[in-house]
Amino acid sequence: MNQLFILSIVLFSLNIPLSSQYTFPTEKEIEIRLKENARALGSMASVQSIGKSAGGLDLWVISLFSGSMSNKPSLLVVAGADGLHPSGSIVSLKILEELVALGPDSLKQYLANASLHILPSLNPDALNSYQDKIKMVRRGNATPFDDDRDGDWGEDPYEDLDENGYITQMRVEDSGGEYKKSDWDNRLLVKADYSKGERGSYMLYSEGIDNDKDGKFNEDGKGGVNIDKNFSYNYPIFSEGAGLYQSSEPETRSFLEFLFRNPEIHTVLHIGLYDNLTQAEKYDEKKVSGRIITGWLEEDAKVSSLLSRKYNELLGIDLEKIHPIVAEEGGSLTPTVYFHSGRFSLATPSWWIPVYEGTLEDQETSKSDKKEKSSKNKEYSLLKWAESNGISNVFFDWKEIAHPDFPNQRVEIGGFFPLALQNPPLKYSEMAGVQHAPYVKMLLASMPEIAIENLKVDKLDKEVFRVSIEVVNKGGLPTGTQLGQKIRFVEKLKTSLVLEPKQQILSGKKIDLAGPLMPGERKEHTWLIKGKGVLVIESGNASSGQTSNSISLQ
Amino acid sequence: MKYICSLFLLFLLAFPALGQKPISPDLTGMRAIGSPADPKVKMSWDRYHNYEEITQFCSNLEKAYPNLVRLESIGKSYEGRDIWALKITDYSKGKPNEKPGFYIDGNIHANELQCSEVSMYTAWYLVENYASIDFIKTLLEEKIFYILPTISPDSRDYFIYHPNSANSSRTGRMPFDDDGDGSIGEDLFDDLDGDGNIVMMRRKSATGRWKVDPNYPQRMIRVKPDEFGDYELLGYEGIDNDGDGLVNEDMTGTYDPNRDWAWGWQPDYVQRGALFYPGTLPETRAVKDFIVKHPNIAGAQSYHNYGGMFLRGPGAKEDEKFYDRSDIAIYDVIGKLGERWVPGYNYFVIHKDLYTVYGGEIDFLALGRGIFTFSNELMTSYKLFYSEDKANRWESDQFFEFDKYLLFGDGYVPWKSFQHPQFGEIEIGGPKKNYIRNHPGFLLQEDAHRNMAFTLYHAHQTPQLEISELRSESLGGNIYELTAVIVNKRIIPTHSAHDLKYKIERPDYILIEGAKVIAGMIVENEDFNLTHEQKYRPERIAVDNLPGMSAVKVRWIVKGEPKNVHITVDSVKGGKVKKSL
Repeated sequence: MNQLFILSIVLFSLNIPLSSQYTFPTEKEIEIRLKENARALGSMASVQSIGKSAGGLDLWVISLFSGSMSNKPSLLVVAGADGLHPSGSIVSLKILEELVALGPDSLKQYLANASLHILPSLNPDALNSYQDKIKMVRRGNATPFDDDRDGDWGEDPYEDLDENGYITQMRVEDSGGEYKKSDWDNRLLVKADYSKGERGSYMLYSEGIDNDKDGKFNEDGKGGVNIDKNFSYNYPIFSEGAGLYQSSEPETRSFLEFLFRNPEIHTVLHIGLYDNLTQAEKYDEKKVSGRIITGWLEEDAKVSSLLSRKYNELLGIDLEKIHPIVAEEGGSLTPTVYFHSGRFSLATPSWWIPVYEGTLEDQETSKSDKKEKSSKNKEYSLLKWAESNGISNVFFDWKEIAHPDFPNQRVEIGGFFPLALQNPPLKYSEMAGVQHAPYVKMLLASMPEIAIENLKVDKLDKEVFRVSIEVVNKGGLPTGTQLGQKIRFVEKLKTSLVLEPKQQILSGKKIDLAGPLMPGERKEHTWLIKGKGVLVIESGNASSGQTSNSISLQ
Repeated sequence: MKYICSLFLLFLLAFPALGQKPISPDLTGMRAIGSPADPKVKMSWDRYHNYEEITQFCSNLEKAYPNLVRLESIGKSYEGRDIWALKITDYSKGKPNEKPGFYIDGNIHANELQCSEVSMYTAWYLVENYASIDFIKTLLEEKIFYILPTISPDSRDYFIYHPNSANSSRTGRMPFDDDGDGSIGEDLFDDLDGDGNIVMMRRKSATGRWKVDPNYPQRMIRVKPDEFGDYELLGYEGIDNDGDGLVNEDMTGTYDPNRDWAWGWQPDYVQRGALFYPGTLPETRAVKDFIVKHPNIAGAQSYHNYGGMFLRGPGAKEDEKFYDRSDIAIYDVIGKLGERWVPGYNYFVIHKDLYTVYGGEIDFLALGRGIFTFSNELMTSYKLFYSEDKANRWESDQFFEFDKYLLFGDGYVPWKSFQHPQFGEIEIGGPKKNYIRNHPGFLLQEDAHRNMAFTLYHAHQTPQLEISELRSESLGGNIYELTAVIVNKRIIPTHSAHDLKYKIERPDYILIEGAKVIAGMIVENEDFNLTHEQKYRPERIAVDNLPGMSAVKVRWIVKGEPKNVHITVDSVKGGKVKKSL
């Protein structure tokens, strides 16, 4: 009931069914939905806020577990770090609801050996801004920022000149312009290629007025820091939206604190604008041989390859048929989780613009042109996809207005719905959530599981015993990353003995610390023990579970 | 009679200047040049201070000089201690945040005690000499100092009151698992003889590679490659508490607070000592917030020990590209002068002459915030005999010689035998925790003063702006031209070249009030009449930079004869100055 009520407030137009709308939840709605789902699961779920955003909103996490969360690996699903990708929050909520819909008994089997955390919005300030009267891309949180670093704060914000409730684009007829109408669809603009003798006829700006008369449009609005640009790996110093410095934002720090305070988190799955699932991380010796490691280590890249293959199979993804998302801008969550925190780190935008098959055939151009055109085709594909699915609000047709900065030129406002190139309408995000739930189940089922096997005792003398065991990983994933071995805070695989006071180790280590065990891999341990009594052998670590065996030496 | 004489004597003693006006001790021959004779806050600069005493000192200074000192807690340490900042300026002259600021901190590495004493000495010297030395008075009128004697207060007290070596407790007190075994702080140092010093363990061994130095029995020397010695060395005093075959492998903390800063931060496997992410520690977060809240800070000093160095960034070779030639030229001036003023100290670049540091404070200040920053490594073996030591830091025997003849054996714990639970019969001995890195008392004040002088010069060279010229000229038809010349009288610009490139700080504004402005411009070349007009808000000309030791000229075209016109230069790092016509 609550959900429907909140969603109904944000209906953009009553003519279009809700599911075809670009509609996003609020932080409050996330809280309500998490708590409702937790209630449905009783003792199998808990909801907590792991911190506050710059704007004071909670960062909600729901945890699903069977019995207890300790002594088991866990998977963390996180979404909404970049305000440009609010649909990720919908996807993560839908994944949760799909799992909850299994019912406690069925869900228990996935949680027998692993727990699940879901953090639907790491940037709730940005998410909530999509309820504002005027909708525009807002990637950052509520931290005020002087975007153009000129000392004046917010002196050139966006203006909704055509008063349609959206900040779109503004094209200005200009014989010296950089852009021309696209051959594919004359609503689209492409850069004129002077090398081919093309001439531009438009200048393209974001919708607004040059309030400070510096020739730039809307270069300093509300500010804000994009959480997915504020992480430490490859941090883009002094770039827009990156913040004052690495991990300057409370959201970034809360996330990393949560990760480090919960060493059982084995893998992070980020629904966001980063993709290493449709295309795996590749092993590159050059990237791992320097002091600073910039590529996945060999064993970890194998895991990436496995998880990527499973992903494409399970979701039926054909790379030829989707437009990939843009490359990361630095300071992203996903590589930071791997390179700086030593966990498996997976990411997918979960939705891509389907390639419009018709366009490529039309081309009679050289290969390089084809590449260029096909990247532009992304917009055309989106128009075609929207058309064939009856999505009417993806593009706002160009409409002439009188603009004070261009008194003698024709100025038109129009263009894509502000988030349309990265996010689908509600229905499609929910579908993506349904499609991704099996992948999450697969990950939970693949978590490492430590067992002690082949326990053997040889009595060498009345009081002397040789004890040997094999520690084995019975799960489908390694007990941890190879990179994690290098990080002090990532727990090693620990095998240790608890002796009775009269017992003594003649040979072998009381505590053995080792690197990760691959799926199915075994590691043998042998000790010489003097003295009768009960010997307890423990093995495991936070991210792969703990097990123990005891044996009476007689 | 005897009784009466005594009474008279007592009387004389009680009123020594009977019939005369009392002479200030500052004016008698009792005052040593360079020191206040009768400071209001009494201090001894030949000893170290614990956190409580530092707190008391800060508070005493504020009480004694309310017009010069404000004390602020900038945040709490991990264990909840206040991190103190002394904000020192002449509060009767101008607004404090409108003066160029100079930041000083000390003791980020807790075992480097004297960093706090040098910082405190600086604060004390400034206020105790304000009334008597014109240079200091002017300095406090023009600048504001932010002095943080210790930014690792928890660990400072841990170093002082718990068993440690000269090198231990560089870390803070946040516990975590050093060795990745899932237990926290399970194998600490063990002060086997209970003397508060963690020294070395040695054991007699037929296959040992060490022997006793015949000149200094405290000293162990490595034998030649083809020789056996009498001893093997077993590391720092301790036992294997958790039975994993390692001694002292999981102490409390053992991270490095100076690898926790948000510039070029790298994880532990690249940069030993780094924590979870840049800014894991409450102490570094508090300092970063303080720095960001005080953008007027134009120069900074972070004291360390040891080695006798004036260090500048970058900490890592790949960041050399951020050091523009013009910025380096400024560091060179200050660094090279320092080499003369503090004998035995060298002007060095961190990554070239020391070692690579990722995620260090110096880089955060210099590159993250565009602040001209030095880090002095206090104490050097040069100070022992005022001569260059030819042997390197680890092979020198000068500390043993100095101990024998000037400290009379106070520097070392003599070797003595001990029954060790794992190693059996061993001997323990070695340098006391306050020897080697921390100054012996009688050398402390001198070095504090010389390093302070270096830092005060650095502070003095932060931008000092003046409107040197303001003239108006009629252009006819009731139109006037108003020209202002703004001079930066010191060597540090209002924006480093790095700052300019990345626009870290806003431009400097030259504002005009009381005139009807038609147009405003920067005069790029007066002789050839080259100007750059600013169309938006011409009454507030934005100048990218006011370079050191040079002038910038701005001009307005105004309607009506300018009378009662006020010009304000508003620079974040250069302060605010005004002039009227």
